[in-house]
Parts: sequence; structure tokens; C-alpha cells
Amino acid sequence: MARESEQATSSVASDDAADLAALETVDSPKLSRTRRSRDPLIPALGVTIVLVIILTLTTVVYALLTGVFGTGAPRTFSEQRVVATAAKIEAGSMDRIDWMAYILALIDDGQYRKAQEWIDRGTAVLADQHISADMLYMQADLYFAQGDLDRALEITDEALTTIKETYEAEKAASEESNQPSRAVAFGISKNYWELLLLKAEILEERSEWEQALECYDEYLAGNETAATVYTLRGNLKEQLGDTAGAEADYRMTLQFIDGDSAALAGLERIGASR
Amino acid sequence: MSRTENSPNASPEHREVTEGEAQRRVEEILAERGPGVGDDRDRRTRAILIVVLVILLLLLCGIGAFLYRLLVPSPDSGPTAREGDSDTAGVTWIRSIYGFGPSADQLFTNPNDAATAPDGVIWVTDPGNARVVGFRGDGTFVDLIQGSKQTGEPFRLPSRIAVDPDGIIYVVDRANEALTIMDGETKLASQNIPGLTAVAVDDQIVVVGSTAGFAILDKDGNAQSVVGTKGTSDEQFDTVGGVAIDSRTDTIYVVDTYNNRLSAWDFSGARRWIVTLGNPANKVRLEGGMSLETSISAPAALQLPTDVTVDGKGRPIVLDAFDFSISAFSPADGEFAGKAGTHGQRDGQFMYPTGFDYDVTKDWFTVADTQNLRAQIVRIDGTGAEGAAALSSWLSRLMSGPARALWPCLGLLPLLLVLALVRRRRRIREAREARELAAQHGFDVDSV
Repeated sequence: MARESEQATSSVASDDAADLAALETVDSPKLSRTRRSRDPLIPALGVTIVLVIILTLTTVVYALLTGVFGTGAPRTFSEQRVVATAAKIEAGSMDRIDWMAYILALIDDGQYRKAQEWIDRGTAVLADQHISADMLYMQADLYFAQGDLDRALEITDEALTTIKETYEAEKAASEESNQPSRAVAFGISKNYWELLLLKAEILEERSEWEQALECYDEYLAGNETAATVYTLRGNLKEQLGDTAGAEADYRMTLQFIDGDSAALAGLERIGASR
Repeated sequence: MSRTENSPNASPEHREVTEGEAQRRVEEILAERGPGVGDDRDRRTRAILIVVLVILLLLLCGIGAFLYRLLVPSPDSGPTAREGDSDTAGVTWIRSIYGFGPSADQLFTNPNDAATAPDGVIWVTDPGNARVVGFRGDGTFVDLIQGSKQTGEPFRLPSRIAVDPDGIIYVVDRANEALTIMDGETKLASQNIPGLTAVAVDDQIVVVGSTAGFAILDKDGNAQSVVGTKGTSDEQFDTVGGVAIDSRTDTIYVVDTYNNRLSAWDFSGARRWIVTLGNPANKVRLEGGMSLETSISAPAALQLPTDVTVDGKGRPIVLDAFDFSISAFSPADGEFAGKAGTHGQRDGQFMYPTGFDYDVTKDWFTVADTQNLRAQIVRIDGTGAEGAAALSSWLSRLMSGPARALWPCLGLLPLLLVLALVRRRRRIREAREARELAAQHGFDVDSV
């Protein structure tokens, strides 16, 4: 009985297999074209991809329709400065101050490539570049912003030398001819002092503390009321271990600006009373 | 031989269809049990689709991150900023709004006040251009109003603004000395009030400030109470710079600008408390031409309070134009709680701010930073509600930025889930039917 039963089962199973084989044979031409995948993951993946694409397109269309991409109005102080200073340049201003303001705004906003373009253009078209070395100053500032300290220092030195030599030459010529000149009337370019501060910053970044201190000393010798620069020098002296010098500088700042937070913080750091 | 072939009633066409159908169903059932064993084509297709999906998702993540960085401005310190230049003294900058476009006529000229509507739109008055401009929370442009929508009368000097819970906008025009209400159905379409300086509104009342006090009106414009005369005594006012309503406690807060005072009142016009915030501007004398004489010592040490609002904790918050600060006070007695903010042009700093508003849903302030020609959205720690409300405001802030572009996706997701469920149920039903059909034709699916 058991054998008969096994034979019967085997016979049914072989019948089923034969049936399946027969079906595959019967429909094979059609199935070869329209046969569906046996892997359920495949249609699911296909649907997912299509859905992701549809949702992405929906998001993009909604974003475009509702102005997610903005109006072009400035959103930060830097962007506002670019917009405000660009207006004068676009109006054709050849005032070096306008150009510098625009380039500084571009640097501040991280638009380095554009800043470089305008520096190159300014170098070509702006007059009196030897007196104030505006574009050299901008170039040094750009390199500094980009983290290229070596080139920034090199250009800063070149700019400082250019301004100083031009100033002294003009001054000497004026004295010799007894004729008025800009050098005599206005003194050395303000850029000279700004460049000294920039050089001090660069040197600090390079950990060349003594040279940085020299820059601050020279700056303060020519600008005795530059209140906040005393604190910058005080910070440097503090770093060099000159606590007494640092305290004196912090107190100088407080003489001009009562309650200056940076100077007070400096005094607190070195343990001096207010 | 198939058992269907043995069926005496099966025609050749019927047999073919039935057998084809049966096999298809059997294959579907087998497919649902897992990947086809040894099916190279399926494996390849699956691998390709997975790679495509992964590339697609990575691409979307990359583009999303790039766009987020592009669209969400970061507070700027800039390489040319000196040390300490960017200090904001406790203010967290979110974004600035300088106008609704880059051209000069689209930028603000001394914005004066800001108010947030229930739909999240921030309305900013721009008196220099005689207009009111609406923005979304991400600073994108919504609408421009240049005068009364009912009468067509143009604004001349729109200064203060408030929006009621129904979204109706109230604009103070100082030059017209008129309160204009942007709703054609409101009886109080435009009301002339001498010396009008401020407005606040909730679902019950309208409070208007003037140079000599303030008035409490119902929503139809009928005066319920008029408080004060011009002067320096405690019962008097010298220009109400700002008013605010706390509907939860039925309290009206009034900032008396030139007397440098903050006071709290109930809805009947009875005073609850009054505090001096600093040296009154109307008593200041120049000493030796160098500095302002300070005769009153107040913990807040404010100089020229210009506006007041209520934060998420129900505290009156005062904006000071000359102290460049935002200060918090106790709602119980006006005790000074602390202040944040400093002067400057950088993001998060203020230059003579004149008006502001607190958005409780996002826990942020919109400040009309007048001399910086911008409206700034800023946050200050400790002003918002805590717990679930804090999470809600975080989400609200998130979705008010560029992430709001995801709203349609978020809306579609439940629909897609429902579709997926329906599809799943249909497949289960079809599989069951297929089993039954296969069984009828003698296929033992489970044994294959």
C-alpha cells in the first residue's frame, strides 16, 4: 500500500512537472516577449525610481512657482555691500575709493574671482596707483582672504614700499621746488596704515610675533588715537609674555572707549583689575 | 498531460487562455516567494536598478546640500572683519531682508516696523518708499501694498503695523494721521487719530498709541477707554512708541518712549504697574557738549525704547533704538530680566532699530533695523516656550526656509502610502485567486 501510495504521489508530481513544462512549451513565444520578472524587488525598485523622479520634479516646480530661489535682493551685510558699492561702479565711477569699496565688498562676500577681475581692471584704468597703491592693497587683501599668506605678505611689502617711496619722492620734490603737493598737503596715503595692520595680521597668522609687533608699533606711532589697535597690540604682547605692556595697552584703549569689551576681557585674562 | 485537456467542455481557445493565465498566476506566486533562483537577467536588472536608485539619491542629496548652502545665508564675518566686529551680544541672526529685489527702488529706505500674519507672512513698513512689503519667513517676496485697498488713498508715511488673528492688516500712517485697516468689510476702514504713533491688535480689541497716551477700541472702532495726557508724570505719556497685547492675561503693554517707561494695563484701562527703564530722553541735558547727563539709575539702562512685544513666555520685550538692544521684563511687575544686542552693521547687529514683532510659532523676532536699511530675523535664547512647543517652533522655522519646497512631497507621501497599501492588498488578493485558479487546474504551487 505504501509503495502504491508513493508511486501515486510520484506519478502526480511528475504529472504536475510535465504540465508545467507543457505550459511553458505552449506559451513560450509569447512569454519570451511578455514574461514578467519573478523578482518582486524589480518592479518595486522601478516604482521607487519613478516616484523619486516625480517627487523631485514636483519639488522643483513648487520651488520655482513660490520663489524659493529668492528675488536677488541681498540677504546678508556682505551681499548688501556688494549691491550698494556695485551701483557706483556700474554708474561709471572712476573714484578709487568706490573701486576699493566694491572690491573689498566682493572679497568680504567670498567672490574672489570677481574681485581679482576688478583688481586687474583697476590696475589698468585707475590713476595715481603709485601714490596709494590701492590695487596692490586690494591684491594683498585678496591673497590674505584666500589664505595665501606668502603672496599676501609679498604684495603688502611691495605696496608699503611703493607708497612710502612715492610719498618721499613727492615730498622731496615739493620741498625742492617749493611748490605744494599732495604729499605735503595730505601726508602719506591712508592705505599705508591699513597695509601695516594687514601686514601685522598676516605676520600673526604666520606666528611671526616680533615682526607683527613692529607693525603695530609703527602704526600706533603714526595713529596715537587708534583706540582699538592698542588692544590688538595688547593681545600680541600678552602672547609674547609682556603682561605689563599688554596691561598698558588695554588701559590705553579704555582711556578712549570706556567699557570696551575686548580691552576689559584682556585685563581679565592677565588678572589685572579694571 | 494537463487535467484541463481532459475536460470535455474545454474548447481549444478556452484551454489556451486558461492555461496561460494559470501559468502567469503561478509565476506570480513563485515570484512573491523571493528572487528567481538562477535567473541571471533578473539579477542584472535588479543590480542596475539599485545602482540607478543609489546614484539618483546621492545626486539628489548633493544637489540638495548645494542648494541649501546657496539659499540659506550664513551669518557673515567676512575676511576683512576685524576681531570683535561680528559680536552680536546674545542675538542669533537668522536672515536679513533688504528688499524684494536688487535694484535701488526695490530696496528698503529706513524700514520702520514689522508684523507677522497668522499665515507666517512678515509685513514690513517702508515709510521712505510709502509702502508695506510682505515676505515669507525665508525672505522671499509675497506682496506689496502702497495704500488703502478700500479707498485707494496712497500711503504717505506708513510707520507702525499690526496683523490680527484673522490676518487683517492695520497700518499707522503718521503723515496721514490715519489708521488704515486692510479689510473692505471692516467698519473701521480708516480712522483719523491725531498724533497716532502705534497700534496693536488681537481678536477682541485694537490698541492705538499716540503722542499723548493710548486708546482701547473694540474691533468696530468704538473707543472703550482713552488713557493719558501729554506730560512726564506717571499718569502721562510723551509719545507711545509701541503697544502690545497679551491675550492670555488680558494685558496691554505700553512703551512711553521719551519718558523711558514701560507700563502694563488691563483691558479696562486700569494700570497694573509702571517701571522706568532708564534716563528719560525728554530730561536729557548735554553736559559740556560731550555726553548725556544720566540722572536715573535703572537696571535696564535703556535710552530710547521704541517698541514692545510679548515673547513665548508671556514677557514684555522692549526694543531700544539708541541702546541697540532687546530687553526682557517680568510680566508680573516689570522687573528687568536681561538684554541682548549691540550696534553695528554686521549680521545680527542693530543700527537704530525702531520696531519689531515676535513670532510665537517660530520663536523669532523680526526687527526693523532702520539705519541698516533692513529687516532682520533674529532669535534670542530663552524667549520661546519649552517642551513640545520648542520642537514645534523648530520645525516651523525649518519649514519656513527653502525646505518649504518639500511641502508638496510631504503632502504626496500619505497619498503614496495609501496607494502602496491598496496595491499590496490587491496583489495579495490576486495571489489568493491565482492559487485557487492554479489549484483548479491541478497545479500544486507549493510543491513547485
